[in-house]
Amino acid sequence: MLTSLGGVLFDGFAYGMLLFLLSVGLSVTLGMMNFINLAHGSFGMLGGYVTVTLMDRLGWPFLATLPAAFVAAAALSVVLERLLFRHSYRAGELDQVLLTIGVVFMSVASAAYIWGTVQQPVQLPDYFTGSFTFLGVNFAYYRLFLIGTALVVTLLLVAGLEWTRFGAQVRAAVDNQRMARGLGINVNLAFAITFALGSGLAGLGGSLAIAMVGLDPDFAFAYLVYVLIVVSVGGLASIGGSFAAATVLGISDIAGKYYFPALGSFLIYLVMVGLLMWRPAGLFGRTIVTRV
Amino acid sequence: MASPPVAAATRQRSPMQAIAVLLVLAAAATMPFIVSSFHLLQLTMVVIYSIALLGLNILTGYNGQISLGHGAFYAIGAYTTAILLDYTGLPYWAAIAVAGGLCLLVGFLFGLPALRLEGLYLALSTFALAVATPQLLKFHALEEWTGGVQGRYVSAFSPPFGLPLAWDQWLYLFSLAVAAILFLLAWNLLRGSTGLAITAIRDNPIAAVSMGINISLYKSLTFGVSAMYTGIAGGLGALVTQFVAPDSFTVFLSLGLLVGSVIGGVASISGAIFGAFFIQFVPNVADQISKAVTWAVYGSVLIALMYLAPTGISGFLAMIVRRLREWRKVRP
Repeated sequence: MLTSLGGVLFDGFAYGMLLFLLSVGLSVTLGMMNFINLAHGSFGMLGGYVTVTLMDRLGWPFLATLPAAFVAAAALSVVLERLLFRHSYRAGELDQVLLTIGVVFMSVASAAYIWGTVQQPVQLPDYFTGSFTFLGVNFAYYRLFLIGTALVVTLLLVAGLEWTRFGAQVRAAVDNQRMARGLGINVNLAFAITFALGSGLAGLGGSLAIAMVGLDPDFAFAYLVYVLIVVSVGGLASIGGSFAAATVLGISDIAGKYYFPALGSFLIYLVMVGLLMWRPAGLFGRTIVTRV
Repeated sequence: MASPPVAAATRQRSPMQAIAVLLVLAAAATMPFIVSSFHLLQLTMVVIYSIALLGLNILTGYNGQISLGHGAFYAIGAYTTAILLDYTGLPYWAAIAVAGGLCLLVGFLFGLPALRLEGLYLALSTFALAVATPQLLKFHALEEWTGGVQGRYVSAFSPPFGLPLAWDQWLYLFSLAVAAILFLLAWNLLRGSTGLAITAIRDNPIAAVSMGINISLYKSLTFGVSAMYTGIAGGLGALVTQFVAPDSFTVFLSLGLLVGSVIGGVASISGAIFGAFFIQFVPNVADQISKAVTWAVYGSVLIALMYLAPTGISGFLAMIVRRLREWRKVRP
């Protein structure tokens, strides 16, 4: 029981780190522009397909495909942002939801058209396939690598947001967009860069996800829910909140499936709905809800 | 002060419009005796979807609450009808009425806390509801009722009063009658002071509350009424398919309903009918090419609508009629 607890905690933490990478970008961009981008999961899916294609068709090593996935997702996000999304920043919530759901539909259709609807296989390099046992807990190398990557990304993000000029501009735009503009900050440019970075991280998360959760065209919708849960529970534009929310979600999802398989996987959604109704701005979020 | 355009448009009641509506209804009622059995089933689904979309329009279009999870209420309506028909001796029309009442209650209870949630969070909660629905229906403890993964068969019935009609003809006419009543009720609800209150909450909640509108009550009641419409549609849908299974009520049903609602025209009553035609026939046609084409069509139509015709088909038609009238007025 205790050893399985350690295993569940480790696997859950690794899974949580995956969810963190997939969702942290949305948390920041949503906080900046109040733009509801439901297509965020699609960038993750793109990253996954870039990795699969580069490995299978061109024979790239797995590690080399990760930066490529980041760049591809970031590049596509810039194109979409400039072509489609930027016209809707001032539009109503319904318009934003519909526009980005339209993009998700298109991405699912394109993925199904280009790669088919089957699960994409991924062959991890040999040095990632093993595991070692310590204190009775089985540590898979790949999950350790995943956790390490996520921790490095977290440190970079926190440092970048706290200590760089660009980070200060982003924080200012999140706190008060109009004031930031008034101070001469180019909020649109800062947003475009943040959007690209966030989508790139989702792409990275997507390519790291294949080995753990598989990849098919449903990815964009299936992980959108998890991403939205992390964002809404973690609160907007809060790296720490996203990190905590992703960890809790990852561990409770794995623990739920391990200890209560009969309950099915819907429990997590009901918990989330209940949580949101109790704390509408998320567990760690600042109150942005306007009461009337 | 001039009354808002939406209310003015729904409040107009010219005899021409009433005649047009009656003509359309009469034409729809002759369908069972003209088209083939297969096409009749498709038309029945159009009628049923139009009820579901009308429910969504009331909520999302008129009241401004985004729901990505109305498939859940459709599923509740369908399963309630199926279970009632099997376990109790209720006739089908009573079972559907009970299903609608249950959805009204569930929607009201869901809407009560949900009204604390602003745009994104409401969209998220309803989306989670949509994702959880099929998994909840597969849940072991409920298997005795829901039939689990296998689903449930819905008992068939024959037309009443010994009418010389086939089962599908009667089902179509019955659905049409239910739809006509529900559309009339919705029109009546939206053109009165309740409708004004509902749209005022959408347009400016702060102004609405200072006019003395009880926002919490109206928002949750709207959610309940909306869920009731969709639940009744679900019940009728179960009668048509004669089978309910968890995988018929996935997140794509919810998203399809939203797409249909928007394409028809989200803040309109007639839009529900156009939207119903769209979600019944477009995926059918597109599926013959490939499953992926359906998503591509949904996606491209949604994106195009955002830029070209934000008010959907019904808004687009209304614009053409308006232009024609102005053009006739300008001519000497």
